[in-house]
Amino acid sequence: MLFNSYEFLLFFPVVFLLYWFVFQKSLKAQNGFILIASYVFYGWWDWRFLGLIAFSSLVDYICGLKIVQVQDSFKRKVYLGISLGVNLGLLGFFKYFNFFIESTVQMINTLGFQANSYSLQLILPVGISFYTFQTMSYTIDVYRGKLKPTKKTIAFFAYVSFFPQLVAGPIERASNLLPQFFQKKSFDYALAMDGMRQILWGLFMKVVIADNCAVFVNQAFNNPESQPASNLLIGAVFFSFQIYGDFGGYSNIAIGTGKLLGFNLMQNFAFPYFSRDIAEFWRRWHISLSTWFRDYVYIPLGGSKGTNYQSLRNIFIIFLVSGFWHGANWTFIIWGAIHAALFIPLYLFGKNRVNIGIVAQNKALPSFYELGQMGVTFTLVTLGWIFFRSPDINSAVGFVRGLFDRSIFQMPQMDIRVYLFMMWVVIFMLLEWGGRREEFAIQKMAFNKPALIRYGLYYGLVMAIFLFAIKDQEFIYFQF
Amino acid sequence: MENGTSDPFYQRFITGPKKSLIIGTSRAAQGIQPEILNNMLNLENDNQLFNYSFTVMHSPYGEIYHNSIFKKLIVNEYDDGIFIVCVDPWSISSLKENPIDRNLYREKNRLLEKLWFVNNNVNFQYLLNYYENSFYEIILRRFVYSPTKLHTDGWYEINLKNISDSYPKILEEKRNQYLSSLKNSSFSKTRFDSFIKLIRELDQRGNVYLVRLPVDPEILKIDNALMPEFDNLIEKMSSVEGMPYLDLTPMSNQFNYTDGNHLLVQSGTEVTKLIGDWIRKERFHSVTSE
Repeated sequence: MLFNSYEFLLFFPVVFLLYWFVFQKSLKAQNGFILIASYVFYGWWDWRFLGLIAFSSLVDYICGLKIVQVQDSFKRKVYLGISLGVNLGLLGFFKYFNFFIESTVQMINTLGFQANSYSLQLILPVGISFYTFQTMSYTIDVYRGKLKPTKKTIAFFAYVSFFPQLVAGPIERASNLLPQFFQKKSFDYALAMDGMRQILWGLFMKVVIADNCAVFVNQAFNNPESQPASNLLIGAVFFSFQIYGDFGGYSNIAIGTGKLLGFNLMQNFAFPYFSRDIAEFWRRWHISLSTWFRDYVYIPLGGSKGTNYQSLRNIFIIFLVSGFWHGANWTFIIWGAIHAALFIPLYLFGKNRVNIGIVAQNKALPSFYELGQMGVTFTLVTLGWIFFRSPDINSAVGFVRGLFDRSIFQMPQMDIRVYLFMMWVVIFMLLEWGGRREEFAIQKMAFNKPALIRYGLYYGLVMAIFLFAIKDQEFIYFQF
Repeated sequence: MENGTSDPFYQRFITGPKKSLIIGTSRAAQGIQPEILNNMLNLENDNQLFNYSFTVMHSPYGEIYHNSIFKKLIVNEYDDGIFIVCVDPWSISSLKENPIDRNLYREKNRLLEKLWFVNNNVNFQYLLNYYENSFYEIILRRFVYSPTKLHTDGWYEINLKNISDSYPKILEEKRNQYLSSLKNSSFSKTRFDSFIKLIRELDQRGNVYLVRLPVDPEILKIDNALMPEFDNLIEKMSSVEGMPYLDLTPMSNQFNYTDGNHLLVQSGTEVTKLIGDWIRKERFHSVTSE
């Protein structure tokens, strides 16, 4: 079920009430209830894949215990290998099997030989890219001695399947989330209210910004060759906001929902479009994934400790793998390569850790220089998104080429509503700017103003969600 | 607040129950204008015709449309209703793999099956589950021009201007769409049986007039390819059931269309008047023959 659906509107209050008023007395009962609720939530998508998540959980539960039980280092590696093999195997099979077959066939045909394509009619299990990474982080951390394995089966299964972040993240580290299942929780009003605000903001991002931008994005990306450059420009920029509104919005709803149940999930987006360079962008965008790759791929490869060549190789690998994680298409790999190409110069000149703090931290407005930095970074990121959104590389290249045309100065040939949503995007960015020092935009917005203003803001957001909701728009990241 | 400019169906579900209906698919929804017929036939108040036609996906003939029609009709017993029943090959066709299988009906799980109430103002179930646009459109379209409007009598007006240059391309696209549908469709006996059952039940409540609306000759070729025996079938059936049948397809090249399938407003007016004249003659004949 989607977060912005009537089913969830009925599901979550029931879960909330039972969690806090019926199962609160026993930690085991609370965890058991979370497990059941999570399996119901996931099974709502497709009950056939419940077995898959249960299997993945069981494998890592057992491997985690075995890694610590056995003394022999080779056997420890074997159990780690089993965990990684099973999870990556599941991911590889469901997500990448057809891609590898088709790419191989294409390559063989290009070399002049004949090969027939054979693809399986596979359904991609929702969230598989997220929960497999989450469970792998457990066994890897146990192997490294960073975490003790747990014997608490229910708590572990609940950690893997925790419904707020199961299908689209944040990808939680076992060291952060699992211990929270061992602590008895009592209702924290302040945390719950914070969670409600975060859910409200997430819904606004998803329903008002992402879903409505999608309408114009789809128009621009369908037949870009027959549209003026001004249409393509709007499509590209709106896609930047669609993907941020969609994914960032979902993360906010997930984290807010977790707070309502007494859990603290990690921040996944930290106002990425105010980044002053690409390196800062990657510290602010999909933080749970980029830190996962940093800790479990980049650092084991050697990180930046080896020669320059090794460091660059590792950086390139990370960006390519990150792109590939997003989908079984060359466009995602190219997208990753573009970001690698943008990041590497900063790294080589030692500029990748220059912009660490919050832009205009102690000022109301950015300087012209900072504005320029943000503008350039946003432009580069948007150009990269064109590859991310396009169905294939030819379309992406055609789209980019189409942007460099005199028709960019023409009025867009789009519905008049595009101007309404430009206004919404501006309002959205102004609110983000105002709240950039917090975890999410409206977390503490108007706290020092009269209650009327603060509640007026919340009411305005609720009305916007109600008025501007479009039906049947799936979260982009559910495809992962 | 919704005034017919932001949704193609809502207005049909918020009027009270009706005595006389125009039924069919989108050809009827856009092509027949109840107001003209009400004036020509001197129908007033509860007797006035209401256009309860939808689309070829929502309202082909079958149990689902049948049930919805009877939800729309006034419950009380009466026998002076007028029912203009528009029929064409698509409205009695189903998927080729099993045209008699009701589980393959394309209208299954769509709004006519799921909507509990069709006479409520405000229709909350529709607004929450089937209203396709954002709610702000209801406000916005009061200020922004919209070429479409669903009137309170159920007529769906699509007011396109200056399409003569683009019409060939639009027709070609529609033609390709129908050719693609032709591959997967065939006559459905179950639908036809439902259709006969429907018109017999409507006949008990008044007079049924069967109509086949004109379409662009290029689309007509595809209709005829789907069911070459369609006209014979309907003529035979109408003769057996004692219901008059007006086939306007021989005049297809005399009218103008938005997309080959649906009449332009002016042509819809002419066609509606033709239907009105025909009904008047039929009513005169039936009165004089009694």
